Amino acid sequence: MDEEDQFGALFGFLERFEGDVSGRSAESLDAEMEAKIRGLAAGTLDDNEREEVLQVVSSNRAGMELLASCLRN
Amino acid sequence: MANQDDLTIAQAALGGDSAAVNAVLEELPYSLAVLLSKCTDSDSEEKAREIIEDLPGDLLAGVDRDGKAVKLLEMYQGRASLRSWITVVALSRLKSWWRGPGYRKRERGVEPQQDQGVSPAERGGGSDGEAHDNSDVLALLADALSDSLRTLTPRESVCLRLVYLHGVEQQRLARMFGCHAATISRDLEQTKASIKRRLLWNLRLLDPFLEITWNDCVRLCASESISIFDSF
Repeated sequence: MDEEDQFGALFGFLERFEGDVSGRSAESLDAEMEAKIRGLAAGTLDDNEREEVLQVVSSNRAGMELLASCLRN
Repeated sequence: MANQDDLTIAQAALGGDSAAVNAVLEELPYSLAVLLSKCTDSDSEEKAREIIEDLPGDLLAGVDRDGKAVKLLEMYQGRASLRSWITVVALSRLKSWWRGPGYRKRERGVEPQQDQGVSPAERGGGSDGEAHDNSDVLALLADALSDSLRTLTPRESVCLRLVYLHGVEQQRLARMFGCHAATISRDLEQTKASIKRRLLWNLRLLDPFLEITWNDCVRLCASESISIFDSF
């Protein structure tokens, strides 16, 4: 198993194990935050906005999934 | 959260609230009773009592890490009741001690109860990935890993999850942050090294007798999740 797979296993494990104790909210995002996340993916945010959005995304599953989707497409 | 009350008590105890400290310590006799119920010899009973006697200091006084006192109770994240969590930590320490050469090499005239005294080889193991009973360690591993990730900055956490959980290419992250891909790669390497170091440190804090490698952790994470908290 290479290192990429190793860390994939770790994060996958936590995703399965954590449930509602992870501190990572599953709350939906408002339209303004969605737009900011798209801006983050596009690289158009200034430093302050980027830090604000990263803070939200790091603790919100929906935000993380939206950001990942934007970056993959 | 199901165990929010216990989490509140733990946090209050960490903050020095004497009633909360007492509430935490009141769980120890139960844990001792569980450990003693697993023992079949006087050495194990003595070790069980020693483990329980050490727990108040570990839980609430802490040990030094990089100049900062880290308390074992900080690892409690409400996945189970506080009583179950403390019992799992204590039982893991006892089982790891049983697995150690100091216990195994002794001649014993009693049959091991449950997995007491059973070596990895006797369980069909041998490689480092098979040296542990999954159900002993998975819950502790989740706590140790969560704590390791909690120390990351939002940027570090997001980058790691994007690359290793969501399969986003590092080049796309570089574009997002307006930096060179080499910067992203270097940052990820540093973050991963930090997680590895902290994860193993946390596991040693939870169970000083546990001999576990990074590869063990990865294999356990790749296996099915099992919770042993339901046992208590």
